[in-house]
Amino acid sequence: MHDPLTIHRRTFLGRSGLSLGGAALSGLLARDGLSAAISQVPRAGGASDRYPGAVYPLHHPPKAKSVIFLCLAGGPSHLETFDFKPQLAKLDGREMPESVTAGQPIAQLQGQKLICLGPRTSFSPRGASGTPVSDFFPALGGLVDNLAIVRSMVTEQINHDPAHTFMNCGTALSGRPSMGAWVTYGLGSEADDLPGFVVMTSKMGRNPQPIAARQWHSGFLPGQFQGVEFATSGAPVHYVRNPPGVSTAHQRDLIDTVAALEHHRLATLADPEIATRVKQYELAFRMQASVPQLADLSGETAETLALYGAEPGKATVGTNCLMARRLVERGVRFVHLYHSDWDHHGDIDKYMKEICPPTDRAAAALITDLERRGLLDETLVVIGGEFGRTPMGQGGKGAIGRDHHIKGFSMALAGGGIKGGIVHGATDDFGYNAISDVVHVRDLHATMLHLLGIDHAKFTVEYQGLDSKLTGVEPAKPVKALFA
Amino acid sequence: MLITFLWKRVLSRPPAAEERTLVKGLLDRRRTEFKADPKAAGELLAVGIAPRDKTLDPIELAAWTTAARAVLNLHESIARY
Repeated sequence: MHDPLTIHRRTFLGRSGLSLGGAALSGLLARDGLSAAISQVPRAGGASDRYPGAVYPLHHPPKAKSVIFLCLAGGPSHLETFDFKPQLAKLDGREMPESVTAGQPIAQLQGQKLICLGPRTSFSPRGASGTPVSDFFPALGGLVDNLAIVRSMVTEQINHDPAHTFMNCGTALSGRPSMGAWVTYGLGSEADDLPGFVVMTSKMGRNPQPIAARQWHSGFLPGQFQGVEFATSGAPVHYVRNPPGVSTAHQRDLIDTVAALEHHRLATLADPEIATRVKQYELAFRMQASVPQLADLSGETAETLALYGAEPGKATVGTNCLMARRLVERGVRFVHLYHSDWDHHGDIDKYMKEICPPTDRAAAALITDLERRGLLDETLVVIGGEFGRTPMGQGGKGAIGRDHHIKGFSMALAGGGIKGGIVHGATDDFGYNAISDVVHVRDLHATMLHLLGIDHAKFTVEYQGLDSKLTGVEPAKPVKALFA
Repeated sequence: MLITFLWKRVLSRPPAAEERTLVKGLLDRRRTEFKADPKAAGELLAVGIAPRDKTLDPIELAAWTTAARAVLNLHESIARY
């Protein structure tokens, strides 16, 4: 628990009286942004001491200030959304050539006959770019000139939980920081009275898999960078109000006393998590005022509510997308939305017809609304799941669906320095393997960081003797073709 | 005396002098406040499902409730080392 170096550094900084963002120390601190983060403990009275971010100054001028990641959890079919495969339609009912699938990772179709399943919906050319988009996504199709569609995504994990972990942390091993934690650690937050990294979930359709809270964990980064989950139904944050009989001044006094007690303890123990707790209490106090304002949608016009399909008080994808806009408007750095459930092993027709309309409407509304408020330029929107679905049908007992698929799937990006109206990469004629301009999850992370002004290769934190990165140790590169 | 009891009960150690002073200050401020506003003390004491000992002075009990909130919310109380 006791790290003599931490004491030494803290003592040094305390005595030298230099501010942590000071240029004189930037060389020293560049290597040790972590201690910069943990040394900034709020003082009693709630004096503002905004953490400037570990990457300070940024590696290059940023295009995006914040990220909204709309995770279509469960693994949406690329073949019914963004990846038009007329050849697959012709092969419908025929056996999948073994040359394609031999030795490949297969989830539930293991040991079964692999039969091609053509697209279950029609596609239409949309926008000035004429990019074919599924008729399941009419509203997003209408915005195709704002979207960069990546059709060549690949991941390494074929089951939901590890695949989410891989998408979020760049590794299937749990216990490492989620991208939202990395980004907030690197850039800090511009919201003084809300967490820098907020998570919201919504679900519908078939019985969705749970999304574990460790998907937004801060791993080896200080706990203050962990995602904070807001509820959409009821109060966004439970127990945010003072108990009856406790005034705001009384609560302030209590928080100050706790902070003073913690500072006393911190001087003995030098445990950074004590500092995190003090910061969280301070933030929670400010959230007592900010959260009711955040959750109050009465200031939104009927037109806006209708655009999103938002229902105040209901945890729908529409309400959450509207909340995401309200969060980035208030300076929140990273909003991670999970909308379940896209895991259509069976009856893909029925479930897509249920889940696509509200998702399409909400996602398109988010882009439209950000744009008309002048926020789209500085907000990176990412839409996609943890993997895609097989070109082979999955029958079994009920109506047909598709299995998990990791060798080629699609994602859509918009705003924040993304070039609209383009398609990047391609899968083969089956929609099975990504064959050109393959974009690995690590490349997506490098791209996101680049747009935020961070060079992924330089963005490291020393952990267990290694310079750990979101993008890990294997090759990763920002996808420059996606940049505006 | 009671502050030491509170510390030992929650943290299994006696308070340091500075800690004792801090909590004593919080207690005194609440005593003054709840004395001036006994209705607030009553509202705070109505929280929770455990029955309240009616023989205790509600002003004292409400002030000590605040002291207990402080100590129960310390990192040392919550985290396992």
